[in-house]
Amino acid sequence: MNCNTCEKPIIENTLLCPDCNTFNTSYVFTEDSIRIDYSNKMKSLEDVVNQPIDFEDYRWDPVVAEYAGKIEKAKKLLEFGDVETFVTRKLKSDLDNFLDRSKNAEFHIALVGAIKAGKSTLINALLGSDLASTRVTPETASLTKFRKSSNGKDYVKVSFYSKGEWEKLWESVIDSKAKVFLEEYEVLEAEKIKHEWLDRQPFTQACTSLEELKTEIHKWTSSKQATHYFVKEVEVGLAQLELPEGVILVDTPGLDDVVAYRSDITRDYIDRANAVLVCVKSDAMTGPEMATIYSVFANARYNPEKIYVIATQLDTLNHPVRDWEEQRLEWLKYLVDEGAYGSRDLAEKNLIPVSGYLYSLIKSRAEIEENSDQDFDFASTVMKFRIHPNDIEKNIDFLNDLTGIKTLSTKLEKDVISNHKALLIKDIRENYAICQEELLKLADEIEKDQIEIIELTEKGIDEIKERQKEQEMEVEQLAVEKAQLEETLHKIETQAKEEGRKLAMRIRGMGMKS
Amino acid sequence: MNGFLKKIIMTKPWMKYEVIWKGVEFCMDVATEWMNESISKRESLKPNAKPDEYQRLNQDFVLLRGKMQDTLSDIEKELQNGILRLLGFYEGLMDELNEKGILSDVDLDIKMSEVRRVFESYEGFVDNELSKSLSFMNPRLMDVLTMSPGFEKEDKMNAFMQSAIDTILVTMTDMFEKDTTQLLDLLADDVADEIDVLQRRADGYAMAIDDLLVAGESMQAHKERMVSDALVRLEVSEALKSQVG
Repeated sequence: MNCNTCEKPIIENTLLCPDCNTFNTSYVFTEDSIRIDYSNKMKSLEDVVNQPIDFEDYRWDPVVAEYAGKIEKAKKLLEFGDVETFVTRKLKSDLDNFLDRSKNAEFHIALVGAIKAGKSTLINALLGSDLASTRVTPETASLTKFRKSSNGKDYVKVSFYSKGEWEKLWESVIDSKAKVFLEEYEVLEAEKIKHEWLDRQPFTQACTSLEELKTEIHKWTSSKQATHYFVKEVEVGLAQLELPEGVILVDTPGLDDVVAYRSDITRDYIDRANAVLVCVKSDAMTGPEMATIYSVFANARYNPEKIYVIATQLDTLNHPVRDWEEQRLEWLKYLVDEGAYGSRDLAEKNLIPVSGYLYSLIKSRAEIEENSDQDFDFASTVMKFRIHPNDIEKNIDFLNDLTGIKTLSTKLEKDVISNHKALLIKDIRENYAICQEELLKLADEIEKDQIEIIELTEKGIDEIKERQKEQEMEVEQLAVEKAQLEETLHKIETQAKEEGRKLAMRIRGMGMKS
Repeated sequence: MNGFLKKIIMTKPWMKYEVIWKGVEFCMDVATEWMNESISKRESLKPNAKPDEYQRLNQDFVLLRGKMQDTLSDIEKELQNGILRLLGFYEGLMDELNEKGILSDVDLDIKMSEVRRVFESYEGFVDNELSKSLSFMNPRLMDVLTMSPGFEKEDKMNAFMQSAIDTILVTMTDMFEKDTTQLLDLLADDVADEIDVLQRRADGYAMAIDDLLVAGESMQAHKERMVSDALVRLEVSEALKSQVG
């Protein structure tokens, strides 16, 4: 018979080819139990190799789905034949981290704006659902996130502060002498129920109707309820959502919260969000509104591109098209500054006028009853845009364009989501390359050791004994080197901590002098 | 291993901090001068002030940041140099570990990219944090801006700037301290992890030899069992290569 690899003649049922040292695949095990066991294991392995892998979590991008599928399969392969012995904890965690990174990409869009700046109407228009009524969102002290529900059902998920977080928040209340906060806290007798909510596990309530959703959101966010003090975050999952896949719309409590701890949460969110929509009423720019806009830029210093200044309530202007053109030039005067966009092109691109109200009216026009209040409101609003109520249908595309909602959604989709997706995919590609190299290195190590074992079985008793002595010495040497390295690394760690501590102390000492 | 151990213990990759202190002193001088000229003499900011007033103030903030920029970037660079020294130190250590076969080229590249990522996170950090402090939504700054001009306003503004710079540097120092410790912890864990695997592999091979030697008459069956297990693992290795290769 001949070797399958080098095709040179070999003795029948020899394990290794003496010429090329590869395994003879025609080898037949003489022991029945071994032959059957081997055949079963190889069959299971073949099943894993051939089993298609397709997880919904990775489907948001075909490249990601392909890479994640390969890593999922590699993880399954590592469960075979005790190869776990070869796998480091680091490789395991690298593979798990890669898969986590590849799951459901998220794009956070934060909304910032003062009360009555049209934030709620804009949220409703973007959500395509009348959820954020004026009853719901003002005075909200926690982050409210709106996202597509993964199980096709509407829900409200509430997270609460931990005791440690609450202590920090309370310190901040005292520091900022938040008188109104303290008075309301006392009137609502919130202290009495504090222990019921702090450190509580997040809670999810499924909702079957829009009304139920609104009630549930109100229950946890309204400042008239004592519980709202302890709510850290409210997540609203919607089965029907007009936002692109993976987008999370975040209603922030604002930068001007009297409690610094809470405004810090908004500041931090502005820093991390993929896009920030600053809502300002389009009628006239006031000083405090300009302060809000500058503050948002200050909190996203190196990313002015991600900030969109949204001129809301365009419909409240007397002659929206003409009046806004005048306002726009005035706004641009401030927005081109270094402390804002720092560029006229960017300022012009990211300043977007909207009318969420007109958009909602257009969307629901089929359900508006004739001669109802809404009917008259619709008529008077479109007339402001110099369209006769009888010509609405004829001019519907023009009106839709004027609302600015589609423009905003398209910009978010194109500028923010596509760009961020590209960055995410780049990151995933790089991480895949790392996992790939680690897995190939592992495969080589497994192969090397197995060939050594097969070669060992071919040797005579004296050679095996000789090899045993060498191996014992190697194991001993390894143990010594391990102990030495551990000691060294411990010493270095102690030095590093000490140096870092000294540096921190010197800086703190300097602060105390002032 | 002995020479290598001695080299590691004797190497101190730590930075010279003096540059930072000089930088901080200079920053404070610039800030004080600016405050006295630009803020303390300015009329108090009214809650309903016009956008122009906010614009002027914001332009002042940008100006101040610009004046402090060179010094701030020196501080950043110094901290980055600390990380760079750490990087060099790491490279030396890892080359040795690489030569010993404990860490492979792949591990080395991965570890270096982790350290570099940390290093890059210091870029623009001070400027970014200062920008957040010098913002209208900072209640402490707003308290000062709404005061009438005079010595008290000057004092408050000085205290504000001092505290803002201190906070930023403390945050950055804490970050440096945490990053350094974390990177060293990670390295220690990874090295221990790799050695564990080397030990397990060596033990496995030693056990295979022992098993063969004690098998006696059933040595052939034993060999076949070892071969069949090895062949399954070889197949896993092949499958891994074709899956991700």
